[in-house]
Amino acid sequence: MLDTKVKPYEFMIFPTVQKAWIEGKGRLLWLGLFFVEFGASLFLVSSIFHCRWGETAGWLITSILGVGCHFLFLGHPFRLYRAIRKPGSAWISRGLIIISLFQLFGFFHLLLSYFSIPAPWLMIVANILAAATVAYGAYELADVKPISVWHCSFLPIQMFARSFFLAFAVMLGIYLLLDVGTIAYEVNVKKWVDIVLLVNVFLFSMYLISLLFEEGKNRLALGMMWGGSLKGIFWPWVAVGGMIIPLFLVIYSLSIGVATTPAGVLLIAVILQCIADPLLRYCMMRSGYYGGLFPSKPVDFRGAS
Amino acid sequence: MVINLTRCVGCYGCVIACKTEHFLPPDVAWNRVMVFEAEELNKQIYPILCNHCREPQCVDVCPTGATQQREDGVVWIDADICIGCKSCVMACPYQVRVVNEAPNEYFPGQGLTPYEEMRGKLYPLQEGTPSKCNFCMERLDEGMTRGLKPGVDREASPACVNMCPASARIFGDLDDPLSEVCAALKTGKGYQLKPEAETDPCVYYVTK
Repeated sequence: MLDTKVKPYEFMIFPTVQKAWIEGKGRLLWLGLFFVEFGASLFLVSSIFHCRWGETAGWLITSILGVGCHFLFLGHPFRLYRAIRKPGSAWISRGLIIISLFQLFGFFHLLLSYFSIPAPWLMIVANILAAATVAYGAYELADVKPISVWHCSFLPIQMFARSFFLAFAVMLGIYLLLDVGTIAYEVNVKKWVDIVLLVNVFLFSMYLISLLFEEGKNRLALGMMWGGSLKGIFWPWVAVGGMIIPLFLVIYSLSIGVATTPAGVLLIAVILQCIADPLLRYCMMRSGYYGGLFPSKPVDFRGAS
Repeated sequence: MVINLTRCVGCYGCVIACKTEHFLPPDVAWNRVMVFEAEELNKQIYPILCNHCREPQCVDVCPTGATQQREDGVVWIDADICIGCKSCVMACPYQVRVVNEAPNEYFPGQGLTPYEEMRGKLYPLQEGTPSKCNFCMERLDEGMTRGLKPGVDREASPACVNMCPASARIFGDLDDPLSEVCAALKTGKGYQLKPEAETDPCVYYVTK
């Protein structure tokens, strides 16, 4: 019922999936939001652990991939400057202002740090703006009031946490690749990769459990992922790739000892979660739906309900 | 606007009148008529259009101010300001906005008819921006400047209201207690679609 193309005479009679932000050019917004959040999170987590290449990569991912996808998504991109007019009520306005400021302060922070000029206040401002950039992506979706599976207070929190810990996993994964044992604050890379992978599995599960509560008896969004048109993405890439295999690999790592675990094993888990996170976001955006419009409950004469 | 569902015969006249008035291309409909079967009711016919809500979420989420609400309550889009972010499309609980794509020909492969060519000049729909019912505000404005009354005089009323053969659509000032629209609302126990969306629509449905 949900995943078939809506015909004009069925318009909003039954629950109807949103298409504006996921079909055609809408996919660019999905990618844009992911890259903006992931890039800003990488900047934030790298800044905490004094990792300059991570900060640079995060800033570049946000500015080139994140902003670039946003730019390509718009129907009239050269009018983008007009979108700062209503920060009081529109999250796109807020997002544009926040991302622009993050780009500005992040750039100067990186510039000064490459010249070894200490500017702690600039780093603090850039980090606050990076956190706000991550929050923008989450609130952009949570602010869509008619889509009940998005419009909930838990969504921004878990999206923020997922972006942060995915970026953390990527940073640690690259340290694994570079064969670095310990980073700032005496953090053991292998041990922390295990912890971060487990946190990510927990966050993935929490999102799916929260859907159960948000939807009540309907479970249409969850149904689309479990048995509907999204099952080809959800089961192999999100459930198995993002949750089951990383969980298995962490248990394997803990059973043979963290120090003796081959780095490749943990890297596989990090890569799988890097694929799973944007795909879970895709499933989330693809399964966002509007409730039916009419007070009298329609009879589904095709027997699809 | 009040729509009397017992009078509506589902003739799609409002849909055609709207498309004609605004030169809408084949895949754009600002007015729709939904026909479906419902529990314990044989047939339901609901004409659907923009509700011109008193608390419009589309106006709130528009980052550029392209979607605006006039003093008389009409919600309209200034396509010259719109950036095409589709936030308003997402925010509308009634999903009545249509994103304009490159317009299809009415007769595929035959080229544009003179009528369609005129549309491009008189009513250009910018690609990538949304459009929706504007209560024929050009007609309203022109009529009112001539001293006519919306909902009473045809020249100052929306095209769908003029076209309706069953007079199912009643248009006028909801704040005027003496207006026909207000009387229909009182006698017909009018209701709004999706009141839980808390947008307070100005389009009411009555069944008396």
